[in-house]
Amino acid sequence: MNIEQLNAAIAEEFEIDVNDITPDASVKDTLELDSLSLLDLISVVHDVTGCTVKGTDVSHIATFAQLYEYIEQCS
Amino acid sequence: MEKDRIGWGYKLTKAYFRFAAYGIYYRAYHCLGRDNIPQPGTPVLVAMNHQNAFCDALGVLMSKDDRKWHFIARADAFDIHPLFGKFITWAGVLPAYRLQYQGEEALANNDETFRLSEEGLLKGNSILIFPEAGHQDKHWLGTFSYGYTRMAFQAAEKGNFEKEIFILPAANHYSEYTGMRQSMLIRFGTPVSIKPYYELYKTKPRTAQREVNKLVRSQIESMMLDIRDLDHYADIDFLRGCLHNADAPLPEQLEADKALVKRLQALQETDPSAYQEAMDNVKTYRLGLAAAGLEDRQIKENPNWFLTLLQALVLLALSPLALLALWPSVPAWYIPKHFSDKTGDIMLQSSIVLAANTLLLMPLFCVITFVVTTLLAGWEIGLFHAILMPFLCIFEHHYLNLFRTVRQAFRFLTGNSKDSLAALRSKIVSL
Repeated sequence: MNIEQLNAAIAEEFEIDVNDITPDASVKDTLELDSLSLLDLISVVHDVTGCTVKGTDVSHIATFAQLYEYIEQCS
Repeated sequence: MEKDRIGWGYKLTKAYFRFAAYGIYYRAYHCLGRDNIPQPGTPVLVAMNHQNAFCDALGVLMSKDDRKWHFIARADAFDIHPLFGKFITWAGVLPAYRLQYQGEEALANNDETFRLSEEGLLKGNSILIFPEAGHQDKHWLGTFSYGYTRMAFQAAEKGNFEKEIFILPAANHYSEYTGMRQSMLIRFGTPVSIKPYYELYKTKPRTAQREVNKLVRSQIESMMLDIRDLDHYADIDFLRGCLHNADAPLPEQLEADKALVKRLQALQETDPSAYQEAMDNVKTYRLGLAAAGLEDRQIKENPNWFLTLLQALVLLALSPLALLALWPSVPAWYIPKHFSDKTGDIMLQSSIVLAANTLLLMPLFCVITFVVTTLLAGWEIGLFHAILMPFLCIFEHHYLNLFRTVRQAFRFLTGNSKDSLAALRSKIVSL
């Protein structure tokens, strides 16, 4: 998994500064996630990494570091 | 969503609910900023804070009679009972599916709700949506989901950005969330046109939505009571009750509450230790009252023996009517309360009591009363007794309130903590 590529894709999709995506940053707060944009995040992650994040698992993913770890395990 | 036609069935049902809600259940309904609601036929998405479940939507429904309102409500409302699901569909409610309630697989069902809502907006419908998604259990504005802005912009896009769509911020407020004969308030803000953001949306849709959301949220924040200090929420909520002018109408009380919260926020920022001391005093007073079985009213009003005994005599004189009014008051309250208690969500209580009585219980009680009383005393008395049903509930409510007042007055007069509590009170009312 190329973290920089993933972060760039997320930043572009969510129209945020890629520098806001740090390992310790909250996924929910940084991306202002709700039920609808969660599906967008799942779609971006799948397109870049091939990993399908389950929506119910996202509630256990607090930071971007945990998201990367989840994707690694998915691969 | 079909073009709206307001038939006689809809008008009569609405009139009946208006009588039930604002003639019987609530004591007062204040609707402010009604003139800010765009004319019927203008696409408008009302975005409102969400506190008291179905009662919030009812407040908007009753604000204007010149259109059929549409509502986005949580999808499990349709599962309460098939008939109820059909009824709210007919009334213009559409389901919203959420991850935490319906699961990930159900989220795709939102596509249909969005499609119907967007088409409805393009036809000029008025739709109410709650950006917080779930209702709160306190006077506090939660995080907004962007579903409402997405809906508005997607509708605009469907219409090739030719139609001007408005988001109308609105706020609600209640004297108390539960119990009969409270007051409620709906205030409409200034409509926010999303047309100036169409060009931005074409290239940066989320940024456009964020900009609009900021405008909408700031209006709602300014119109409602928003207590941000959750650590001291109970004390601040209690304090505002102590400072209320009981005779003032709810809009005036709301402004006073907002001013108090602003003063407290300023104190917290400029002098945190003084703020903490003030909150500690409020808490000590609040807990002291609870331990003495009293309310602030007794300390504030300082009841005397003469008045209290007079009130007790009034209770005695009215007791035969109070006994008569046990029917339907007891089942009208306790049957729906049993079901609302099972939900574990106190904020559903008013909605369930109101809806259950309006749709089922009170009509049933009226029929039973008419039949039984007619058999005993003739149809004229039976009819009179049946018509009296909802008003007997109001009477019983006030009777019980008077009973509580007298009971607490006796506690106050025979207790030995009133001086210390009065001293505490004098410290906090200066805030």
